[in-house]
Amino acid sequence: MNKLLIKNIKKKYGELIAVDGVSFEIKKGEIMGLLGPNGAGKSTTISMISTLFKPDAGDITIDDRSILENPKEIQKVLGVVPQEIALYEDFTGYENLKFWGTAYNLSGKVLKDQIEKISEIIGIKDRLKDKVKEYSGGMKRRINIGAALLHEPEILILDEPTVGIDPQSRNHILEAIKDLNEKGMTVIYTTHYMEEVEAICSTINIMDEGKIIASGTKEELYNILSNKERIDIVFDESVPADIIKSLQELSFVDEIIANGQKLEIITNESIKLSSLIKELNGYDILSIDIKKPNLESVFLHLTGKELRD
Amino acid sequence: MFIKMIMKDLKLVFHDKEYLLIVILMPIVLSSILSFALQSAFQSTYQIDQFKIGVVKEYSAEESYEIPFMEDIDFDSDVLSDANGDEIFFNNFLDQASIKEIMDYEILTYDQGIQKIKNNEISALVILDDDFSRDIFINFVSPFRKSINIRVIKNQSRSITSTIAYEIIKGFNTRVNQMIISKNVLIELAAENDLFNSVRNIESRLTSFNESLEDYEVKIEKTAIENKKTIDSTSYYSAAMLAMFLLFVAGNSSTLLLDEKRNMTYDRMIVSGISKGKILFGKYVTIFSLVLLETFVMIAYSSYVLDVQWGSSIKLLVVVITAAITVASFGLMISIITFNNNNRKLTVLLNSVIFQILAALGGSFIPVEALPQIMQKLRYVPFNGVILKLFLNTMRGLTVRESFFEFSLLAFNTLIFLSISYVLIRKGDHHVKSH
Repeated sequence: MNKLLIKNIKKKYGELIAVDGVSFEIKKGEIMGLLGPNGAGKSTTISMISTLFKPDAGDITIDDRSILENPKEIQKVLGVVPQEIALYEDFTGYENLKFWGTAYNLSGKVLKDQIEKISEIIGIKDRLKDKVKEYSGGMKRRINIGAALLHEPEILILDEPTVGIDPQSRNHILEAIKDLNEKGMTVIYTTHYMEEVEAICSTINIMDEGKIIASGTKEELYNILSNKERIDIVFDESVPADIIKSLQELSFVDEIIANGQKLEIITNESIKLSSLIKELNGYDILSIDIKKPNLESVFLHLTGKELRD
Repeated sequence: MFIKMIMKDLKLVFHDKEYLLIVILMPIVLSSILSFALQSAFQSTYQIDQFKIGVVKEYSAEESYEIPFMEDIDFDSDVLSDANGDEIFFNNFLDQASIKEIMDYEILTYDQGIQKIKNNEISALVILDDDFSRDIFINFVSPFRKSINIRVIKNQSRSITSTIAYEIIKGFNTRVNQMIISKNVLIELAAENDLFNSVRNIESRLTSFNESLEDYEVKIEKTAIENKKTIDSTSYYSAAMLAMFLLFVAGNSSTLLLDEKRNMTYDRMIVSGISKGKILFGKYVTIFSLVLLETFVMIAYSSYVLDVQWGSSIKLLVVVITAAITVASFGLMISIITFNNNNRKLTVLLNSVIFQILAALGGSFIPVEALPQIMQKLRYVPFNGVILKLFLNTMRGLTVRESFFEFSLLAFNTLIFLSISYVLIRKGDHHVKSH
């Protein structure tokens, strides 16, 4: 696989438009992050890529061959980690891995070796004989990923793989994904945690309400904000009316939003901190927080709402 | 992979203790309890609706009879009419309102009668042999005694009504004997009082004939068609409980597919390249295997512990496989409905209400023959009733050909279930298809 191309795909559930003309591409060796709030259409998009649902319109090609015409083409090279724990809880970890290995036509020694290898990668080797229902949430997530890795897929799709787990398991999963990517695996990673995308993804597509609203590398997305920074100032009492007027006269200030004790200043160039402090002198201030651009602020800028809404 | 999938499903089922309890243990317990509890009721009479018998007249009713030593007696036409076999057996006996109320008859040839028994259309066949009318005549108008041959062929599929028919005919025999004895007593008294000069020393002649005529009893031959065996309560309820719990195998297995959907393993199988057809066929084979397992357990238990004779192994195997195909088709159909609706309502409704009704209609609680006529007609509506009939036929020793009607019904049911399944699969399919 050299290039996976998603071309203007659409999906409706009754009257609800879940995915509305989404297009993007993933090149071999990338970790592509699909970022968006819950209900943005991320899971539906990857369900179509993984051949679970047929798009109502558009096409998905792998090296210019449509997977809608020949789903087997992509199924062979695809590993899908669903958002839910798609395992048999009454079976042991080993039994689960064995079954999902056979689903990808592995058998005999190859299957046994792969189970050993993958269980080591995901860090559950010591617990393989235990039933999955006895695992912690983090371990279930890890074996959920492991089941998609047994056939060494070229493309790994992970749908919110770290939801509801402890930081230690999250770090383990993110490290494992980075390692697999370094060995040549292409990864599609959907999440609503922008820090995970910032940590591991080389390219990012931001989705909202069924559409891609921005795409590019992290740096390209930050540039959308034109180096804007945000300064949050919290006063001891309500924001004084006269300070707003004096701050608006500063050259780097683009926009001011006052809300109770909190004052938000959006800049259009680098902050001249000395000028700001000079203006604030004489007021009772509890805190000043200068925020650099991140994906959260990009999303906020593009949609007017926060990612975790 | 396919075998692994089935093994996985079976393993999942065996992890479910409740399932095992219902499907394996319950039929064993219930069949044991019912067969012992209803043993006496099985041998007693039931409130039974009117049933039908066939009567074969091998004699000719038009014949005129000559009685040895009484050739020159010119009998009065009333006497001839009263002593007529047809008159006595049909008009005076079978046509009595009290008998008609429970037993009706039709005149048949022997072959027609046998066929009707095989088709389970009559409860018994009464054969009046070619001397019947003549023997009746002799017994009634002369001082002589002559044995009367009446054969009763019982329909073993209708053990209760055929026994009733047999007892009624036996009752006729008793009544005829009483009349003959009364007549002979009268003749003896008349002879002693010299009232019979007109019949020329009839007493001395009667004596010599009485010596030569042995056994004046009406002979009733109790014959079973082709050595068909009767069914006792243990055998009946072993088969009845098995037929009923096959419904529960289908019902309880129907959530396997929904469970896969709910824990997302169904979607995972689809994206790993296992087609929907393979998944469904896997479920079909799983239910089929569970039916075989339940049947094996039940047959083994009843054979070794309750001493039930299930009949020929080959015939039983044919019945079991045919039943398993139908039950698996039914199970698949419910699985798909449950899957498409994404809830267990249908399974709960089936297990708690509908299966009980089907079991009752099919004869799993009370033998169908003991049910009202209208209920008897419904025995073939639920496929479990047909399966029970096939098990009973096998126990009785009927051939596969003789059970053709029941096999055809099961095949028809299977076809319906699979057709509905196919339509429902098409309706609920939104996945990308392989070409």
